[in-house]
Amino acid sequence: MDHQPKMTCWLVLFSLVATLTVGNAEEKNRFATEVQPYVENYCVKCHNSDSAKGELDLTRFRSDRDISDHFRRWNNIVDFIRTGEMPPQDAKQPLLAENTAVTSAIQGILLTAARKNAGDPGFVPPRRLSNTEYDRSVQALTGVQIQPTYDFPADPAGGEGFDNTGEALRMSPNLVKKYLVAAERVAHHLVLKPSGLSFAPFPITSYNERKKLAEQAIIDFYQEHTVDVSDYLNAAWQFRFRHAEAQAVTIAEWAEAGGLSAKYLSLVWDTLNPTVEPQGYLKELQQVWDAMPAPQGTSEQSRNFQALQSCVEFGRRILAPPQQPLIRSNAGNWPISHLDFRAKTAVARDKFDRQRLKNYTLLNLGQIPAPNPKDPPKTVSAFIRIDPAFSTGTNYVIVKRGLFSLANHLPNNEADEKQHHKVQTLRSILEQADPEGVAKLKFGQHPEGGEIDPEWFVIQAPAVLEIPLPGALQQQLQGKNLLLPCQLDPDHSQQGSVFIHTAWKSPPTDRRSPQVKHLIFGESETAAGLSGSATVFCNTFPNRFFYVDEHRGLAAGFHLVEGFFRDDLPLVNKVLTEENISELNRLWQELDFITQSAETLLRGFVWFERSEREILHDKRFHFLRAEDPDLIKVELLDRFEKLYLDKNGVQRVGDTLQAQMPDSRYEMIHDFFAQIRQGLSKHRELTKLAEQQGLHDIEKLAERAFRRPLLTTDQDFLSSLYAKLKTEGQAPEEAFRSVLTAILMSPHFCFRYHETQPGKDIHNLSNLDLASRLSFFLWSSLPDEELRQAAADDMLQDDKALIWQTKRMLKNPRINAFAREFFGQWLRYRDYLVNDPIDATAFPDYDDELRVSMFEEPERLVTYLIQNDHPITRLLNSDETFVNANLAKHYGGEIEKQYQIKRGAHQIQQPWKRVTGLRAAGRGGLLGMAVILTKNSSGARTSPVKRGFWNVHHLLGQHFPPPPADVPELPNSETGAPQTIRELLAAHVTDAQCALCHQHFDSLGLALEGFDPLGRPRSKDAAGRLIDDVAKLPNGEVGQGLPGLIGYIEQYRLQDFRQTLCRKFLGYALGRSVLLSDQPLLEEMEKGLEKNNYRFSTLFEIVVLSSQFRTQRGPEYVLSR
Amino acid sequence: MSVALPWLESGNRLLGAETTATPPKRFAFLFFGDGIHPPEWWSQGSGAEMELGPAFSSLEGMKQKMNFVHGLQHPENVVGGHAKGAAGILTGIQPQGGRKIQAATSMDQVLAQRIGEQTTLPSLVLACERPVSGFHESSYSMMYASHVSWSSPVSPVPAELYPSLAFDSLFESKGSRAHLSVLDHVLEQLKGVARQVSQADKSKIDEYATSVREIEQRLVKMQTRGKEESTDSEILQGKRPADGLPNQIDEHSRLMCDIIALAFQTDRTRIATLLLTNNLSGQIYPFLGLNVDHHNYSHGWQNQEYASITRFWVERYAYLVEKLDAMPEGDGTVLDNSCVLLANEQWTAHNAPKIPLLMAGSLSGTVQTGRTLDFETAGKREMSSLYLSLCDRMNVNLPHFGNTSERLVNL
Repeated sequence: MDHQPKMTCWLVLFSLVATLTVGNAEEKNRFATEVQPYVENYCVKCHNSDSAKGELDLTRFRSDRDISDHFRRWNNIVDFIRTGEMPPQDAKQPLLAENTAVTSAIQGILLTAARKNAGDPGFVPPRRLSNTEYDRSVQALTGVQIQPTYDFPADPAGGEGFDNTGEALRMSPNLVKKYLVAAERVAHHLVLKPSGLSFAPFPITSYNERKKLAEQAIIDFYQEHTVDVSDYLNAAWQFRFRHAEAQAVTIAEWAEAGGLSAKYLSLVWDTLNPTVEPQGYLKELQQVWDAMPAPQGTSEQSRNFQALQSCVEFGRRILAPPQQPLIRSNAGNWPISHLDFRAKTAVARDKFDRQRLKNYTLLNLGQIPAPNPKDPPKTVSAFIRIDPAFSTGTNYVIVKRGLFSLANHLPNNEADEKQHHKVQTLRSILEQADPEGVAKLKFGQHPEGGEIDPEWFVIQAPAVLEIPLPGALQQQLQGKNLLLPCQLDPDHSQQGSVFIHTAWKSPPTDRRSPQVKHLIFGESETAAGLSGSATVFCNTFPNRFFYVDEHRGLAAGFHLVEGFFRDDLPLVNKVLTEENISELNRLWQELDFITQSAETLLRGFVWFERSEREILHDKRFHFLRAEDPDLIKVELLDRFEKLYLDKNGVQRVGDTLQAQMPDSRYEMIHDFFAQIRQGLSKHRELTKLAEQQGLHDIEKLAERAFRRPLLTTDQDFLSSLYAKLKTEGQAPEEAFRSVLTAILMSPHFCFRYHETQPGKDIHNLSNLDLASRLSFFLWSSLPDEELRQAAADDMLQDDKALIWQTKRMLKNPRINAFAREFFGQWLRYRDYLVNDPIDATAFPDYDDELRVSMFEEPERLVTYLIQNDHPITRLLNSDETFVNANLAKHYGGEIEKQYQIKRGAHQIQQPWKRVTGLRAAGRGGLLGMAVILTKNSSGARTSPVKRGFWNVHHLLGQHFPPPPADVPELPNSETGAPQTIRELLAAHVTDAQCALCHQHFDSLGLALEGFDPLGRPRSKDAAGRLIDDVAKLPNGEVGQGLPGLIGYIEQYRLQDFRQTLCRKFLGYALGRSVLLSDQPLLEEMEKGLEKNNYRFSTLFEIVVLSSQFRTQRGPEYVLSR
Repeated sequence: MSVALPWLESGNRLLGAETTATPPKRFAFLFFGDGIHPPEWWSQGSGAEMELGPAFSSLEGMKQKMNFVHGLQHPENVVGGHAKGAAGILTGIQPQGGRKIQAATSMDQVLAQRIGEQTTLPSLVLACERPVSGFHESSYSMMYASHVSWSSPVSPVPAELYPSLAFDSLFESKGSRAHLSVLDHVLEQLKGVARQVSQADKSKIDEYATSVREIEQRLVKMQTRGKEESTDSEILQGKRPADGLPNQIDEHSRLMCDIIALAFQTDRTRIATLLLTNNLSGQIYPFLGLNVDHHNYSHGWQNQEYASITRFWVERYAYLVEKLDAMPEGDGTVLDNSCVLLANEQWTAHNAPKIPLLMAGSLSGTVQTGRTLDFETAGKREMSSLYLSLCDRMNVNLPHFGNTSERLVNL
């Protein structure tokens, strides 16, 4: 194999001449004297040009150089001679001394050649990013997971078997097409915000996604800052009784320690601990608060706390503005007045307004249930409880014409009363059933004397009134509501104030139940007296902190038209920090900007006023179309507003937008148009800002994508492309998307190449190139900020600084890329999910979740081993691994038990947990992992051949010639086979030709027969035949099961493992085939491992510091021969 | 920028590798909302005996190239409901209520995703009324009332409102122009890189440059196509509508029909969707002497105003059908190789027991025309079945669409 790159003719000639002269002058030809005689004696009989057995023709090699040029092949030859594999038993046998002499001669030749060019960085051509590198780089650039290459063809592997190898990664027109599509796919995530460019987690292609993105961000914010008042009451209570040593703690510190808002807890605290004597409702609150003992975790304590909580909730109910529906989706609902209504609602959430107090209420005791015919008739009573509230005078309540009615509201007219509601008055019913009760209620009489309506009666607080309904009456009235219209007596109780509520069966015991109504005259002095405390109370305890509609999110809530309404003043004013507030303001600004809210509202308004209301049904408005691009222009908007005012009967001053006489209708309309104008101009202003910031951001992004500071030419290009796209009619965001596409298509991004310095020397990579190389090596992705800074500061040429960066990067979670890419490719499980050998129909439990879990296991273990700098040999024998619920169940036994204990309370989730004791459970290291065992199964059966070959060839690096074409197939499943797989295999290898290879790996696979095709433990095969996992291993010893296999490798094959690992590792790190000249470095790596107890960090450090990694050849570089 | 890159795939046809011996088949879907005036919406008999109701008088001359399809149904729309209708008509599903938008990929976009790569534009999605995005009282988003075409269950296709821009998109979309600029720049940068790297490294850079150049050439060919093909350029000469928006919907909709006809004639696309009006439309018809919007009239659907709007939209449809029939192609006309539907998702604006539906063109003789097809009493009469049958005839075989996997019997 020739691993030298193709060069120009001149270069090849030059190197030939150089080699000839150097070679002849200084080196004697050891091949002719020490190797060739042996070859001719023992080898060429089979390995000649006619019958090149094992595809080896030894007559082609004539000099030392021929050997070093084909060093891999000759390394294999050395192995074959050493292990006695060759010459074969039936051929002429050399003496042991002859073997030793020839192998050391070959190795000597190779070593001499290797040393001549030690440290040669080799030829690493420019190449495109691999698919993994592209995806991971895009993720680093955008911060979101997109995986734009998901439909690319798989990258070819080259070099030491990795897809990061330059020679293998080619470009073609079809791939350019795919690159363009992929770049656009990424660009669809770009969103222009007032603060510049950002990336959405999903593609943004229509208004729907814009809205979803911006609205959800705000809803998420609100959810994160939801206020539960009881948390604050509790915190205040705990604070009041805090330990002596915490006395110095402030209420703000207390809040922060408990994860609460310091601002709001202070407000609550101050309300509960006023500096002046509390009045009105605050006095009631104070009494409850003062009565609370220290919290002790008893049920007594929770009763005390509930009293405080319900006192606050009660206050909110009777004092704060009532909650009303904010969505009015009826067709006639005028958007302009609806906005006005919402604005008024929003500002009043924490305001006490005594005008809103009620002196009248309709109590509805609900429907009278049908008595159960099986039960004996039983009298049930209705109770009315009335308590003095904030008044000490006499408190009379007039109950006006109590009714039994099918409706839950009072009749509007006689037809309602008689036909629809089928009303019967309370008095008429009682007279018929309970004449004594009638007398007790004193219908028609006022306690202060004088007559009232005969259907009315009066109660004086405090009182509990019982109205018994005998069984017969229940029968008669079933399904009807008992309605009691209650009015605070305006003649005798103008200064009155009562709590009134009702209940069935037993009297209400608490004067502050959730059903309580408060009756008071808003104009009264009592109400005025309440005002002070109620104002303070409502300010602390608003009726809501913010409003998000369950079904419509942040929609303004009118019919059909898109519009948003912000209703969160209490949250902003009382709870959020300045920092929170500016974040929330930013989110709202982004919503307006991203959805173009003012324009959307205006266009929706024009459409709505025509299609759902009649206001535009007038020839004067024919010029208006919601689609008109000019609709947002000042002239058109003014014309619209003027006509709209006229149509609404507003008298204007001349042709201005002023009203002759200010009135509320004019104010509402004019404010609406003013808001639209303001929104439109804000949008224009923000667009300019966004563009400026966007241009800045796109440069920063290009800088990261290109892995270097931008040149003036780059900057010019980006800005001129942007300008060009704008003149071609693209909106700012569209244009930025195209520029991003250009960046991702740029060779500076999607190609890796190093700038070369002229000459024939090897020279150091620049800081920037080295940073790139390091981060693609470790993370399969772009350098991060810190690494870029180190490069910019010229820090990477220093060994210590380079190692420091390397160690830092190994700790970063992105190192999982190395775990997946290097180990996954070396050990052949990376493509397991797309290339799964299992016949899934044979295994019903084998689902995608399990597959993904299996696939992730080695990545998690390896990442853990790297990050904790454990010995690399743990790959072979680790006693610990990571499992999730799927995998734990799959492995079963002790592993599953341990997982369940560790998972503990997380019953719903399936977290990954580290489990130990693998060796005792018959597993360990990578060899016992489900994914490795499964990947090396076949259809519905195990494959000892594949499992063994994987161990010997991939893990331990032993070389075999390719199998002949006519190998007989084993059956596809164990149930369909006449014998065990082991027995069938034994029959196959009785053929000596087959045994030649199979003897080296079958036994390792047979030792793993205790694992079924999916890697689960088993004692019988699928056909119920007993499993035998005792195997005679290649060194003649007998081993059983995975423990036997691990022991064998640890004891006899550790060097093979080490060698293979080092070669693969170096090949991956350099992105090329290992060269003969790398031999000294490989030896250094191996020795380093031995010396440092096989620590992972040893490999990374030696390779990163090596000349191979840090330098590159000049264009005229010539190999020494 | 468009999601698909049709011009990239269509290189072969442009280079003459594939000559279209048989004319291509096209599909157009015209939609208007808010129902029709039922007393005039009828036809009976087939062939020479066919009689048409007053709503169809403008189609008298075309009736032998048409099918009048009565009684097809839409899933769960029997109760009407303004908001969800448009999104259901071409998707065959019922969209989801509330804040989360969830419909389905519409039939035109399914076709575009399958066969759209053969033409400059995968599909042409036009509208004469802007979309609305608030909520209906039923808690369905108004997005559903104003989009018939959906590229995915969560993404309505943004429709082109402006005739001039729709016309431009037939030649060079903004997207393809941007691609050219991008590729130009990539080539520039590659030149720079080639200077920086060694001779040996250059081959990899050249490989990229060559690939980019080839893609660029394909793109340029696509863009200059109209200029090279003389018939095309004659056809298209001077046809570009003025910038901006026509003030009235009659002119607006006529221009949009012209563009669909042009696009089909020049094979710029084979799939076109035109939303004439939304459900709950705010459009007015002063040119019919009417001051009030369509939806308002629908509340008294017996009135003559409502009838005249129905007649108007059928006339607009007839205009497109006649126009396509006046374009010779092969042995017949462009219409003969097309299927042009007109549908409304409502019957009267407040109920939808069946779909008002007209169908013109025979899809190259694969659909027999000149018939009244009445499915009113048929057991299976899903609109989605019609779509499956039409897709079959356009050589796009779908196992399932919308709410059915059954083809329409007797089409």
